[in-house]
Amino acid sequence: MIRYVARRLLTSIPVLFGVTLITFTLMHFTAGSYIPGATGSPTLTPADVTRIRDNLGLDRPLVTQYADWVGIGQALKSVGLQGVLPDNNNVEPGLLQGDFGRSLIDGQTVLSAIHDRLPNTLELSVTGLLLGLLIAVPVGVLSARFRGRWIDQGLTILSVAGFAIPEFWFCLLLILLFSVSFHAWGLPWLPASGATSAIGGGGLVDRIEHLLMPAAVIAALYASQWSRFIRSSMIEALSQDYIRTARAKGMKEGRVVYIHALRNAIVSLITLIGLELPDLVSGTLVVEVVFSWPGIGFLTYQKALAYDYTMVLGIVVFVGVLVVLGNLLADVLYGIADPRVRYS
Amino acid sequence: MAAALTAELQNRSLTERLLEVRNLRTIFPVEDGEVKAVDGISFHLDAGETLGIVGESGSGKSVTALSIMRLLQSPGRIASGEILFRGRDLTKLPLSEMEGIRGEEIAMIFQDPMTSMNPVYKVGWQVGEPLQLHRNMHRGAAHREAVKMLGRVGIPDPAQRARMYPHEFSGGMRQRAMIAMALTTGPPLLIADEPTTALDVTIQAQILELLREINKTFGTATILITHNLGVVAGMCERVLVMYAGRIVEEGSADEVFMNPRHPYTWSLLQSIPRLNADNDAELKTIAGQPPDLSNLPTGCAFHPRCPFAMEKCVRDDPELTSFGGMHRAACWMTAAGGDMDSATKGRRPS
Amino acid sequence: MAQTIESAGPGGTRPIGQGRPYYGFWRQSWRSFRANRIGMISAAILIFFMFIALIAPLISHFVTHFTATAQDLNNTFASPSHQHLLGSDELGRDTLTRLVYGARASLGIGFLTVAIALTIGVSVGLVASYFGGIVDDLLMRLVDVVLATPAIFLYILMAILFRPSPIAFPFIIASVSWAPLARLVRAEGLTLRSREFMLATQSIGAGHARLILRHLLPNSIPLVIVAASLRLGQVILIEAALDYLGLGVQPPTPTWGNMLSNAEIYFSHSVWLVVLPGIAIFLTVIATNLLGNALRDVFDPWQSKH
Repeated sequence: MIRYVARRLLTSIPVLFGVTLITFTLMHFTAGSYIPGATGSPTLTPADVTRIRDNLGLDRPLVTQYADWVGIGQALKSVGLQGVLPDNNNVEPGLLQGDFGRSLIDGQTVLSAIHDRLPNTLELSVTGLLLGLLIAVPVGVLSARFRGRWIDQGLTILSVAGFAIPEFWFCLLLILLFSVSFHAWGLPWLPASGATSAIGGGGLVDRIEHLLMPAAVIAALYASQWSRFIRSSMIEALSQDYIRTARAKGMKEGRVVYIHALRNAIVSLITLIGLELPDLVSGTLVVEVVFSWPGIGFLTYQKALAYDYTMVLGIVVFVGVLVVLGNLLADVLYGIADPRVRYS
Repeated sequence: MAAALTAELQNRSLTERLLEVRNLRTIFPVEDGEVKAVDGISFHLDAGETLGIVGESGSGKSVTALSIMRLLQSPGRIASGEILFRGRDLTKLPLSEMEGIRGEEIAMIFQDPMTSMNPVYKVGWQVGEPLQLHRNMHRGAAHREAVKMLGRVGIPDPAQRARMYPHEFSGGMRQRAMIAMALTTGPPLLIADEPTTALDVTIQAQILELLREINKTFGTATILITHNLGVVAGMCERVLVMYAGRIVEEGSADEVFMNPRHPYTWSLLQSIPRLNADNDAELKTIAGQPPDLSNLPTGCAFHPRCPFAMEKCVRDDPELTSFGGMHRAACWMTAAGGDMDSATKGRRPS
Repeated sequence: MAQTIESAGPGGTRPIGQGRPYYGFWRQSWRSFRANRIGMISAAILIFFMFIALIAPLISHFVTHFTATAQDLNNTFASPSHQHLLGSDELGRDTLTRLVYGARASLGIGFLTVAIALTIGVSVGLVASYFGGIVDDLLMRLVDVVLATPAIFLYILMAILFRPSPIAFPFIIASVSWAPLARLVRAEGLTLRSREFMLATQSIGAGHARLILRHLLPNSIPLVIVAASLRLGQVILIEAALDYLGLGVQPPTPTWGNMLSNAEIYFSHSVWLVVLPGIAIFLTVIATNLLGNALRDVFDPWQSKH
C-alpha cells in the first residue's frame, strides 16, 4: 500500500510542474509581461507599470523568472547556489515558499485572499457533494434494480435534464422562484446572495437559508451525473457471475443488491468522487457568481473583471496544485476501496 | 456429520427419489419467436448418485441446471414441466421458499471460479455466508466452519487463506473454495456446471478427484455438466447426452460409452483423437453447425449432421427406445436394429 | 440451412443472428439508428436548430422583419404579439430574431470548438496509443496537466489576457476540451492496437502513417462520433456560461448566454426574457446528449467498455 501511494506521489510531480509551467507561460508570452501595457487597469500609471516590471524582474531570462516564481530560486539561495541561474540577483520567495503573488490593485497576497474565501467555497461544495451523494445512490440503485420500468424511465429523464440544464440558468430560475416570487406571494422566501445576511446575520439558521439554494444546484448537478453512473455500475455488477453465485447460495434479492452488488459499484463510484475532489475548489465558480457567494470562484471573477492579472494567476496556480493533490487523494481512496488495485 | 448425513440419505432413498424432472421445457423469448433451450426432458436422480450431462454449447445442459435452481435470467422462463425435489415441485414454489432451498439443499458451482466469487470480500467470509444465511450462524462461527471446510477440500493453511481475497488464489484453489462454499451446509445435491473447463488439465484431474471423494464421503448426489466425455467417464455412474434441448441418449456410463446407440454420441466418441491411430488418418469431425434453437429442423434435430440419416428422420421426431437396462436412445436407425459401426464399414462417417 | 456469420467491424467480431441478412457496418448502424426513436428525434431537433442558425438572415428579413440589434425604446418588454412573435427585450429588440442569431453564435462556436478539440484530441490519442512507450507517457502527462488545470479558471484567465473575438473563443475552449477526448481515443486505440489485424497489417510492411490513418482511425470513428456529440453539449454550456459572465461574446451580438446576463434584473418586466434563451440552450444540450447516448447504443450495444 505504501509503495502504491509513493508511486502515485511520484507521478504527481511532473503534473505539478506542467501546471505551473502552463500558467506561467500563458501569463508571460501572451501579454509579453505581467502587466500588458496596463491598458486594462485604469488605476495603474505608466510609472507604476515600470516600477512593477522592475520589481518582478521581467527583463531577466525566462528560465530564471520561472525558477524564481516557482520558488526554486529561493531554495537554491538558501543553500548558496543562487548563482546557478543566470542573472539572478533579485531572488524572491516563490510558490514553494508559499508566495503565490500579490494583487496588482491592493497588494494583498494571493494566499491571504484565498485564505479568507476558501472555507466558504468548501462549505458550499462539500455540502453540495454530500447532498448529491445522498440523492444519487438511492436513485441509482433503484433505477438499476427496477431497470426498464417506469420508475427507471422517470428518473432517467430527470438525470438527462440535469445534465443539460445550464448551471447559471438553473440558479436564476431558483432565485426567481424562491426569492423573488415567494417574496411577492407572501411566502417565506430564501435570500439570493451572500453566505450570511448583511444585517444581524451569522446564526446557524441564517447560514442554512443562504446555503440552501446554491448547494441544491450543486447537488442536483452531481446527482444527475452520479445517479446514471451508479445505475450503470449496479447493472454491471448485477450481471457479474458472482451475483449468480450469491443467488445460488439462496440469498434474498435485497441482500444481493445491497451487500454484494453495491459494494462493487461503490468502488467505481469512489473513483468518480475522487475525480470530483479537485473540483471541490474550482467547480463552484458559476454558482458563486450568481449567488454572490464569497468564495474563491467569486473572488476570481471579481479580480478578473478588475484585470488583476497577478491575483488571478496566483489563484489559478493554487487551484491547480489543489487539483493535483486532490487526484492523488482520490487514487489513495481507490486503493483502499478496491483491494485488487493495491498490488498494481 | 458425514456418517449421519449418509445414513439419512440412505433412509430417504427408500421412499422417494431425490430429484425427478418431468417434461421440462424452458424457453427464451426473442424478437421473432422463442428459443427452445430445453425441449421436454425427463430424468431422475437418486440420493448419492452421480449423473453426467453431456452436450455441446447450446444443447441445453446448463439451462437445465439453471432451471432446477430457478436461476434463469429473465426473459428466460420455465414454460412447462415439473421438477420434483424430495417430493416438492420446485417450479411451483414461491420465491422465498426457493431461496431457502438454494444453498441449503441444492448447491451449485459454476465454470469460472475467478468471476464467480465477489472480488471485494474475503474468501473466508464468502465461504461461510451460506451458514449465515440458512443456519443463522453469526460471522465468527460461520468463519470457523468455513476454515474447516476449506481444509477438507484440500486447501493448505486454510486459516490463513480464509483471510485472503479471491484474486490471491490460483485457479484450482479457487474452484476448491467454491466447492467448499457449496458444501458448508451439507446439501444432498450438488450441481457442478463445467467445473473444470476453465482450469489447466492437471488441475482438472485434481478437482474431479475431489468431487469423487465428496460423493463417496458425504454421499452428496452430484450432477456433473460438461462437454468433455473424458470427465464424465471417470466420475459418473449414469450419463445423459443432450442435443438441441433434448435427451438423445441415456444410460449407465458403461452402457453409453461401450455401446452408443445414438449417432451423435457415437460421433462424439469417434472424434476423440487416439494416440494409436495412423499418422495420416484424418481427424474425424461432426459435419455441419450446431442447430439454431429458434428454428429447429423438422423431424430429428440431428438429421442434418447425421451420417446415417434416413427419410424417416427428416419427417418424424424419434422417441426414446429402450436398449436394455437403463439404456435408452432416440434414433430411428438404431431403434430399427441398425448399428453404426457396421454401417460405416467401407464408408467414412463425415 | 442455418449459417453462423461473424461480422467484423469496429469493435471486433460478433456473431450475427443466424439466418438474418447482414449489410455491412455502416448501413447496419444506420438501420439501428433509424429504429432508435429518441436518437432520431434528437437528431431532428439539432438539425432544426442548425437550420435556423443557417437561415438567420432570411428569418430576420422575411419572418420577423427585425434585425438582431435594432432598438425600439418605445416598445420595450413587449409580450409575444403579432409584431414581436416572442416579445421584445429591454431595448425593444425583437427576441425571436435575437434567439435565431443567438443560435448562430452558440452553435457556430460550439461546432468549431468541437472540430478543433477533436482534431487535437484524436491526433494525440492515436499517436499516443500507437507508439506507446515514452511517447505515450509524455503525451498522457500532457493530458494530465491540461486536465489538472481548472478549466473555467483558465478560461477566465485567457479571456482577460487575450480579449478574444468570437472567432478566438473556439480556440480558447478547445485548448482545454481536447484532453478528455485524447484520453478516450487513446484507450480505444490501445485496445485496437493489440488486435490481431494490426499485427497482420504491420507484418505486410505497412508504415506508421498508414497504420494510424487507414486502420486505427477508421475503427475509432464510432467512438469519436459519440464523444463529439456529447462534447458539443458541454461546450455549448461552457460557452453560454462564459457569455453570461460577460467574458465571452460581448453584446450587442446576441448569444443565448449573454441574453441572460441581465435577466435577473428584468424578470419583473418580462418572464420571457429569462425563460426563452435558457430553454433554447436546454433543448439543444438535451438533444446532443440524447443523440450521443443513442449513437452509443447503436455502435456498441454490448457496452463492452464502461
